[in-house]
Amino acid sequence: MSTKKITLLSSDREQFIVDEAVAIQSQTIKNLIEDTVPDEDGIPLPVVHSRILAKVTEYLTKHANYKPHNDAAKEELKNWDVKFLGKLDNNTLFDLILAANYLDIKGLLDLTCQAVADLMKGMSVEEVRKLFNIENDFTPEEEEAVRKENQWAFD
Amino acid sequence: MKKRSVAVHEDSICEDVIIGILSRLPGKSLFRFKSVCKAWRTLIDQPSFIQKHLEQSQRGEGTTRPNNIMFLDCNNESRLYSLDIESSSALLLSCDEVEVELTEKVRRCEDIPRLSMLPCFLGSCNGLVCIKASYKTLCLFNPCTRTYTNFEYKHPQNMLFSSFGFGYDAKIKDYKLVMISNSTQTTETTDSASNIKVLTLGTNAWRKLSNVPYRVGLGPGKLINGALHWIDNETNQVICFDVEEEEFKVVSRPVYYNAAARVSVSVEVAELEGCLAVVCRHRSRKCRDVEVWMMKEYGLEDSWTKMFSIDPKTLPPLLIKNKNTGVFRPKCFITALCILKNNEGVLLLIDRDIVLYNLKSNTCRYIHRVAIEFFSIVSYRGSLINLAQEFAE
Repeated sequence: MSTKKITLLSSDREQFIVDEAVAIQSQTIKNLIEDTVPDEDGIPLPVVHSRILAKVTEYLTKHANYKPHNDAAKEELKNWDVKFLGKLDNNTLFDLILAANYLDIKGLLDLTCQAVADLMKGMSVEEVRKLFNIENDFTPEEEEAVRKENQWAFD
Repeated sequence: MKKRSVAVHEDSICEDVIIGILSRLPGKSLFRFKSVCKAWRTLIDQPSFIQKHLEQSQRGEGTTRPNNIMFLDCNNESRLYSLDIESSSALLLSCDEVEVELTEKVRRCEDIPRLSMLPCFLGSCNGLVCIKASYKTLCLFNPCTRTYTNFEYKHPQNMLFSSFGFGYDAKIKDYKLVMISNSTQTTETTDSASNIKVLTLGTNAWRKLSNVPYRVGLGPGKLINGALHWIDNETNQVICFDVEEEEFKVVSRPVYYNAAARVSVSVEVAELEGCLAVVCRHRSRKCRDVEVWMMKEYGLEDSWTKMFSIDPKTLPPLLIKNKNTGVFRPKCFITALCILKNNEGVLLLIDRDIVLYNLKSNTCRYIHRVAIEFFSIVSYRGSLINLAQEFAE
């Protein structure tokens, strides 16, 4: 197995050195390795801050060592994911979604999107607006009409 | 090679990500969130989003939304009741909390179509429940969007004593109803073969397929992996019907018992988290255990896993006392309804009782007694399909 190291460079120019097998779980990084001449300091990821990249590499390192052939290992990894998510505040969770989307890491994107969905499930409309920083662009009459149409969902 | 355009502002969430998040939400939350802002209302109504939401709910690996359960009271004005596991967020609760939540959740659906006598469920697919509403009418009902549509159909012979299955053929983009009738009463054949008829909703005509050598129970077939599943009553084999290919085959089954001992069992087929499952009840003097098995990877015989087995003596809800003899015997019907969060528990239906089996403590207890004497039951995954639009012509 290859132990070739890859250096990733966060937006605040912090270096993260990981095994190639860990890094290429990100389709974007894989493409960057193949397509571009590496920067002397590493592969630049200009939209991912070191605070988030640390989380991303933590996730990728765990998942690179995962061999999906037995139930016990699957269960252990699931529990690890739950713990990993448990440590994140909402802002970090959203930043992680954006990073997973940009870096094209399907597993991490699925995990974080599901976490936000779980968070939202029982929320009120106002709480969701706050969470996503969305401004209400309905007039009071329009909003009332949409609510009425879907009244049963508010019970 | 895709080149993703990178958002300039780190905190602006692109529509892809919003869709990724919203498509994982249950229908009820989404109807509420239509009033978040105009963009979300438009998004949630879009056919492409409805499709994405549907696909998301059919994917495995624990991200699937739970099955909701619907009861049809076959006597009393044919009312529909739903056990709304989805909006009760049962998946987020531990076993201790779920009891209180679910007890509150069996409720009457208000916007139901008018049904005539002796209706029953024929199956469910894509969040749509198929109901035999009368001898002339089939009703498709989406409990999540509260929309329905009626189909007039030609009532075939033997319908009352036939088994059904309802599925979707993605190739022709149409729904199909399969009917399996025991043919021994007819003159066509004297063996135990069954007649097969398929109704494609779009063409509204029954087609006859070749007979098959199976006899299946009366419950609707369980749709898993594009195929409908039943138990063949004579061999206890799991058989399936591929909705697109229109072919029957036998699916490998778990080792219900020690092969050396000839033990009598009765088997029900179930669907748990998108996987094929069977509930097997031993019926010998020595062994009355109930076993629940799950095929973790569809089609892979080695992936049959025994989830748990219950000795009915230790679990009172499984037993019923004979009034005359005073002897306890196991109840008639048992099936598995769904798995709760983190594999903590499994909801079982035992006759009229919904029982939660806790996988951690290996105990079980009552959640709810279905207060309907004669009912038909079906489970469905909520979808956003609007039947008033879908079949409007």
